[in-house]
Amino acid sequence: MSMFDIGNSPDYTAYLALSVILFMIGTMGFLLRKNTIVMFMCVELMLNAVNLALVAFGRELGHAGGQIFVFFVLVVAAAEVMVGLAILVAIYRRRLRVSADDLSNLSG
Amino acid sequence: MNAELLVFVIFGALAMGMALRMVFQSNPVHAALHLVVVLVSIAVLFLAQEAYFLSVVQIVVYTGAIVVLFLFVIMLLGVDKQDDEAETLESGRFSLLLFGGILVGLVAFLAPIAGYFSLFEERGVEPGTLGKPTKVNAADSVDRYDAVNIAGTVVPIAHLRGADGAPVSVVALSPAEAVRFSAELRFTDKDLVIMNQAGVVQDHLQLLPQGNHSAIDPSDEGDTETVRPDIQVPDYDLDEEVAVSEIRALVHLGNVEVIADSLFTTYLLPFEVVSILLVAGIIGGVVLAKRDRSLHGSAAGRSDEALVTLKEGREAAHADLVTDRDVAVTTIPDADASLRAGAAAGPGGEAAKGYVDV
Repeated sequence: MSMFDIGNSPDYTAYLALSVILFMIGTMGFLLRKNTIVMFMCVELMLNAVNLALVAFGRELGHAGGQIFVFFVLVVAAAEVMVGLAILVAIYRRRLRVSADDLSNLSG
Repeated sequence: MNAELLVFVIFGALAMGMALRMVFQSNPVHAALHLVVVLVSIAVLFLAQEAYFLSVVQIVVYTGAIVVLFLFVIMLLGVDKQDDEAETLESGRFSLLLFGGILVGLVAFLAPIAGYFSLFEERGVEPGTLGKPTKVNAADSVDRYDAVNIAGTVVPIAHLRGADGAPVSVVALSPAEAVRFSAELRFTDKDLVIMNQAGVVQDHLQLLPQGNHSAIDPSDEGDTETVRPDIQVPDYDLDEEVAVSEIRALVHLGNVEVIADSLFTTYLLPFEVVSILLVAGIIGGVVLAKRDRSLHGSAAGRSDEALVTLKEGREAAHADLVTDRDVAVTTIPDADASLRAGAAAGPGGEAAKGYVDV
């Protein structure tokens, strides 16, 4: 360890910056992509970015709540993926496509 | 270079790069595999932040379950092939990309700077002074009292600000207890203060991330005052050498205990609610993905909405299937479009049944 002992540990703001960047990449992907499965992956990326921020905050503030909340986010993400992919399978059965451009019924 | 910084730089860059590649990957299977790399990188960053349990859970849940589910659905539906055709960025999407890029630039570079200064201003601490040895003056502001419940022992902790405003945890512990519980104390704050029976600070150890610690001469603490007169602590002789080595040995343990304790005491109700959500999710997933038998029977079993949306090409496909049913079955590649519509048409979908039945 001592051979690395030059410089400081990254501040929590460094983790927050990384979290923001990952979140924005996820948002961008969600907006740009047409494949609904990849859009789901981008949502997962956004949730993970938020998890990273939660852990960084929890560590900085010395509170276990940050890490606890990550568990809840994990569970919500799992439930979301389960239901979302089931919806995709159901949609695919009806139309044989899962591109977001084909799912435009509500646009009138 | 500091070890944590090194890990942060490597895996942060890896996560960012792989996330970008995931977004611009035309093949969904490749995108899922890039997502795995991103998630593992984030797990490593959890590890760097001493969230050991979360790091393992991240790998088990995300890469073990969620990404596998993604891959399963991708391969079940076979969308990897039909997606290859275009997902290119048209001119209309280029503005979106530009918008996203500007947003990334703004948020990534301005928000941390703004947050950095405002957060520290609020605390009255100069940036970068956290973690340095601090003198405990109990007359300074006490933020809050709380307790950690460790293996049935409730250990009271007073969180207060040192003379220079840095956060300090004052705990009522014997040295043996202090060593035993140092992992938790490391988790909650960076300083460990051992008090005597009257609540007067006897020793002040500072735990650094690497497990080194600097002991502050007790004589420096002469100006400290009673923090919690009600705290009962047995007298002790401080054996500093033992404390140092044992704290070093224990300083990286205890994360799971802290999580479990909070989860099953303070956050018990949210935990239960979230478990109900998960059960609802399971049931919803099964119900949604379950094959609808009526789909393949007659048109009567299908929703009007689906019939309306699939109206185009219905007549043609219907006629096609009724007249050339056998031809349509044997020449599946040519009849792809008519089979699709035929499946939608319902009554004529007999031939298309095996094809649509995913």
